[in-house]
Amino acid sequence: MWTYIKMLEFPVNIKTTNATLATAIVSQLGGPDGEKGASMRYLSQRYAMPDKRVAGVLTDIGTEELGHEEMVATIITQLTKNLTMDEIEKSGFYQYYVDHTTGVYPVSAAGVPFSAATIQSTGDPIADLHEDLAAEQKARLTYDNILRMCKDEPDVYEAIKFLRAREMVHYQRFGESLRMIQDNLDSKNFYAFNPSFDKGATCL
Amino acid sequence: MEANCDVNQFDEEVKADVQPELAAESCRKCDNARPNDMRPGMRPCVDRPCDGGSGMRPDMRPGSGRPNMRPCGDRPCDMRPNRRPGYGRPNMRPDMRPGSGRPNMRPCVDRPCGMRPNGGLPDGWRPSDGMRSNSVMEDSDLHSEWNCGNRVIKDSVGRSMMVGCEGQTMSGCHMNDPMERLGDAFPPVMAYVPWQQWGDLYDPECGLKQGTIFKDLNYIFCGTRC
Amino acid sequence: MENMCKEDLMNLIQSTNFTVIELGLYLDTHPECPCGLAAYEDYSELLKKAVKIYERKYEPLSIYGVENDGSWDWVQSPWPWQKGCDC
Repeated sequence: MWTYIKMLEFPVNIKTTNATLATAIVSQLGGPDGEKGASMRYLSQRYAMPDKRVAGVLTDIGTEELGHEEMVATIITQLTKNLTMDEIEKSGFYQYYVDHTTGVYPVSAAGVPFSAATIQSTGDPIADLHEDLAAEQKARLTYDNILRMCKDEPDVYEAIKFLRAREMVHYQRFGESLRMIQDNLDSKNFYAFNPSFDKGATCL
Repeated sequence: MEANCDVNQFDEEVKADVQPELAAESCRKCDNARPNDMRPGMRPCVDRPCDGGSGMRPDMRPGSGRPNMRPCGDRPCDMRPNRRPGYGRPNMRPDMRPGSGRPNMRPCVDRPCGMRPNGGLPDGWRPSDGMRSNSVMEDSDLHSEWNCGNRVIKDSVGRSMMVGCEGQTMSGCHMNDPMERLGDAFPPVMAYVPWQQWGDLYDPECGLKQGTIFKDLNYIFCGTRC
Repeated sequence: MENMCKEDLMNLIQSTNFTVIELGLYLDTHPECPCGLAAYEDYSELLKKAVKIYERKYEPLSIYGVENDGSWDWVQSPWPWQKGCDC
C-alpha cells in the first residue's frame, strides 16, 4: 500500500505563468512517455516478476514516478494559475482550457488523453524490462525537448533537469534488473522458457 | 565447393568504408560529453568515445569493432544509409553474402543461406557468390558436420532445401571488442547494461539539484538547435 | 537541527529524503553492498530525526505524523502544489 508524504521530491516554485510551456509539459503527465504511464507500467509489471529484487526495483521506481507525476502536475498548475484570457486565447493552450479550464487533466501535448495502450505488461520479465529501458529513454528525450524550450525559465528548468536525471538513473536500475534476470536463466538459451509462467524447459 | 567468405576482404572493406573525416563530421551533434572528459582540440567520437568511457578503447581505429556497436557511443559515426547488406547490424538479411555478418555465424545454420526450396538460387545470385543448386538429395550427401559438403535444411514449414555450401568461421573480426575477450560471458541476442560500481557521491544538497547522488550517473544535456 | 527555521529544515529533509530514496534504489540491485548499506543507515537516521523535529514544530508530513493538539493539522497546512509553499 502507499503512504503519501506531504512534500514534493524536488521543490517547485514557479513565479511566472507560461501557457505554451504548460501545453508542452502536460505531455509528461498524460502523454505516451509520461510519468503517469511510467508509474502504471512498472507497478503493473511487478506482479509477474519472479525475482524479489526486480519486483523491488519496479515497486520503488513506480512509487517514485507517482511523485514525479505530482511534480509535473504542480508545474502545470503553477504555470497556468493566473493566466489572462488574452494569454489563453493567443497560445495553443485554449484547446486544453475549453475542456479543462486550468484544472489538471492527463493528456499529451497534442491533446490525446492518457491511455494504457501506451504501456505494456507482458508477463515476461525479459520483454518487460526491455520495455522499461525503452520507456526511460523516451522519457529522457522528451525532457531534452522540454529543456530546449525553457532555457529562459530557471524555475521550470531546474525541475525538468531533475526529472530528466532521474530517468537515466532508472535506466541503469532496469539494466541491472535485466542482468539479474539473466543470472537466473541459462545463458545457453535465455529464451528457452518464461520464468514467470513455465515450470520447466525440455530443451535445456 | 566453397563459400565466398573472404575474411580479410571483409575487414578491408569495413575499413575502407570509414574515413576519420567523415566520422568527425557526422559526430558534430554528438556532444553529450561530460565537461571534464575533453581536452582542448579533441575530436569527439574520433579521439575518444562519446559515451564517457563504456570500456571502448579511445585508440580503436575507425571501422573496427563489433557489428552492433552504437554510432558515437562505441565507435566513430560511420553509419551511412547505403551500407552493403550484412554490414554493421546484428539482424542480417537472409540474402547476405555468406561469410559477412557477425563473428562466428555459421551460414545455413545460424542464418538462412538465401537458397530457395528445392535448391534454386535466389534472384540476382551468381554462382561465383559461392552457392550452387543441387536438386539431388541422397542420404550419403548428408554430413553431421555443419560446414562440409551437401546439406539438407528445412524451413519453418518443413520444406527441404539442398544446399551445398561450406562456411568458414570468421575469426579476426571485432576480436578487439572488450566483450569478446570475456568469452561466453555475454552471449548474443541479449542486451547488457554494465553494473554500476560504488563511486563518488555528491552531498545531499548537490545531489538533489543534479538529480542523482552518484557522480557516475550524471550525464547532463547541453544540446542546442542553433 | 533543533534551532533551524522551517525553510532550512524543509531543505534538509528534502535533500536527505532524496538521498535515502536514491540509496534505496541502488541497494535494490546491490543488496549486499556494504558502502551502500552504511550510507543508507547514516542518512535514514538523519532523516528520521529531522522529520520528527519538523512535525513537532511545524506541520505533519504524513498522515501518521499528525500531533494531537486539538485540530486536524493534516488539512490545515498548504499542499505541496500550492504556490508559496516550499514543500
